[in-house]
Amino acid sequence: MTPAGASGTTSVGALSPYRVVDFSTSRAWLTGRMLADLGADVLKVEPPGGDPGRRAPPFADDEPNPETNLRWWVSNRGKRGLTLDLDQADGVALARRLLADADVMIESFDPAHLAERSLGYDDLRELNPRLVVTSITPFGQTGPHANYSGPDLVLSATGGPMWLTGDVDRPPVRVSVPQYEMHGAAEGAVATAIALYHAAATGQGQHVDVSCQLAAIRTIMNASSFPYLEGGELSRQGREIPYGHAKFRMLYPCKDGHVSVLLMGGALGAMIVKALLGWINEEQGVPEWLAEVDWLNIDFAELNKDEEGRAFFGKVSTAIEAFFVTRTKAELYAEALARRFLLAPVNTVADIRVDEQLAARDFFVEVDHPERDGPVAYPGPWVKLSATPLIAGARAPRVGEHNRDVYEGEIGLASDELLALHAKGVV
Amino acid sequence: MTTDQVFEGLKVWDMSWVGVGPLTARYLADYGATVVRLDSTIRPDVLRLGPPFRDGVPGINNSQFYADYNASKLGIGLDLMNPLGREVALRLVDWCDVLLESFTPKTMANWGMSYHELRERNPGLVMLSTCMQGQTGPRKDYRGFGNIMAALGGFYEICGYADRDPVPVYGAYTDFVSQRFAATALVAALDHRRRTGEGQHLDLSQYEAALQMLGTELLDYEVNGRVATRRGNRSDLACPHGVYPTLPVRDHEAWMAIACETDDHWLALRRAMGDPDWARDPTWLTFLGRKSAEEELDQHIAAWTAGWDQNELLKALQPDVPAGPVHDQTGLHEDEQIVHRGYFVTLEHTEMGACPYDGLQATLSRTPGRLSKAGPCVGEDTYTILSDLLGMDEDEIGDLLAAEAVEITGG
Repeated sequence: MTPAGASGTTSVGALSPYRVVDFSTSRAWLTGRMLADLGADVLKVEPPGGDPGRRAPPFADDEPNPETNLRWWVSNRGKRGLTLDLDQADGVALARRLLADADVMIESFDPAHLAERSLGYDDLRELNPRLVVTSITPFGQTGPHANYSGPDLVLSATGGPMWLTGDVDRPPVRVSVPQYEMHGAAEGAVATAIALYHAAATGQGQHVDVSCQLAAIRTIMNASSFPYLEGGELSRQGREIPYGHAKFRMLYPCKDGHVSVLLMGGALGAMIVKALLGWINEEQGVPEWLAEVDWLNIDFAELNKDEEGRAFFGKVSTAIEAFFVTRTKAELYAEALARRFLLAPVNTVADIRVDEQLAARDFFVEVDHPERDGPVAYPGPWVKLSATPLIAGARAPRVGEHNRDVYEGEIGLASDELLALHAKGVV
Repeated sequence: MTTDQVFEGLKVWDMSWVGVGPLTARYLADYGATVVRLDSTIRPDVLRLGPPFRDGVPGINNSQFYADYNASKLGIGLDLMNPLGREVALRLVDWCDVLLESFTPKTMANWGMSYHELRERNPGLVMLSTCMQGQTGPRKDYRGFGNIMAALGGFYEICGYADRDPVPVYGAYTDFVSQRFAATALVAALDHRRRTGEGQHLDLSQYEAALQMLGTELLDYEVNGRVATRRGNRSDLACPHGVYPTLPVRDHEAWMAIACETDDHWLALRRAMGDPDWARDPTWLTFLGRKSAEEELDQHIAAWTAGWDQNELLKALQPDVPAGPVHDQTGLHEDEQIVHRGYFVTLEHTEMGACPYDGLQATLSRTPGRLSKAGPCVGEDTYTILSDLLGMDEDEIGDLLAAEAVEITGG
């Protein structure tokens, strides 16, 4: 069995028998990493000189360098790295040798890029009928927008999340760091696993065509068909979220930042509000009108629909906010856990890094970086499988790091052949 | 249509509820598995109480939200507080290949249905347990929803404008990350089982899965000490990068997103604008030059876009300038690309009639998958499941009904 990643980890992953040749551009780096985490032997193929995506910040120590690109690091861990020039015939021939015996190919070029190089799905099916070819692009392989350019901002816009997010008096916003290409990439992992399951059972590969725009639509929960069921559009509401025609306030300031609370009445929410108000009462008392509210028989969704109800809701949330601003995120969360009311701190990445729950589950894992002074703590396993745990992959490969291992050791090129390809700039 | 389905013959017992579990099971259902979904009028899924409702009328069988997340599945009405109801649940464990559940961790154990107990009955079982923060650790039993988890997971902090309070991302955001990670792991575990016969237990923390989407930012903090925060639509990589007003669409405000990630994109935008004098400032030929005058640039572009019809502007910009309309929900349904992909699927629901549902985001050329039906009404398929899948006779089913262990309703 081929170990996943260069570290030689010996655990058996759920996908350990499979080889993945990963031609992805940065928008789909995540797909191959998820498969590598599950034990697949993933060969990341870059153009000579390195993947263009390595050039975008952020970099370790803020020093621009293709070997210290942090998105590269986190998205290509556990893969082995090859270089190969698809713009040269010898490079295409070499790619075909890699793919002849592979189980999966991942790519995220603009549609037609590979077909122009005789590496389209029809070419590859003839070469290796059981190969699963997964293409991940902003809008999919076919259709009037197939060749449109779709970075994260455009996906957030055209997939629907942006319309629903932001302050009412300013233009809508995306999440401030890229998300929706990664949704497409993760969807690509699901679809690849499904197609691989089929190919391994039947010997029949296929072409998997993923649209990041469609993956973005799925993130808007229950909104996508709202006008067709109820009439009217759901729209952004600042710190509140629309829930049908009602809206709920999600965010409150506190002493050192913000917290998120879902205040609801009825069977689902009464216990939770009562637990929160019970605490406030112990600490500083609550006004009589607030203590007397019959939370069990309040339907917050109904309440939020009219002026009177909204005024009442505003009064409740003002009273609660006045208490929250006297407490820190950590104090509020500790009490929410003890008393079981529904609240979470609006965490920063710094808060997350020291979270005791994540620590108890060994979420952050140290990855050796021989080129640095010490290991680096990475966000780690996303699922715990009892029989086939995720593989703790080695750091992402340097440019061409495994060329010799793979091209000579596994594909069977002679040393002088590899040297000749190197001289021509193919690898 | 059903002869070449990847998971044809695979049996799935979906005891999960709300978002992540049902959406994960829907992948298996859409690709041909027989999925039995737990349901109950006594303890209904909160999605049954959530909008959108047909014609805006709340009703346990009138929620498209539930019917979407449980499309392609059969529904059994079962009372798990009733010992006979739990017996049926165990019969389904014996029947199934895959079990999904999303209770707090102690719940299944309290019913004698921990993985270790269930494995004794069904050694090849693949069981996915998904809860907010995982099966272990000090906060394992804390309940929640994905919109609260999105705060904990760092997503609200980085959403909104730099000079203002954060705003929530719409929806239970972490659910829609977790479902993809859960489904990938589950299918991989099924592949392992097919080859080795070995089942296993999957413990997926929605918190940990969601954090995969902030991998770069977590590493940037670890290595550089930088704490990611919100900055509207600004980017470190692209300028101009924002949304700009267009003529109204369906009588309301409308916007076009434009992201110039390269100097070539900027030159293409200049061309699209007719290369006006203001845009020829040579300092704006580089990213850093444009970034230094971002507000001024944004004002000029907004003045230009404001007179455009959204569709015409899109065609004037793409494919040379990365751009796209900020779609409202009707805009999604009318987008020519989304229509071409056949994403929204109209299905007939037993009580709601014909409604649109979210379809598949990937197209598999040989085994395309499909939504075979809208989600069930409560108890709609109880009889079929007990009789056809579990092989119970009329007397047995009658006893269960008499004991109120099962519900046969709807339909």
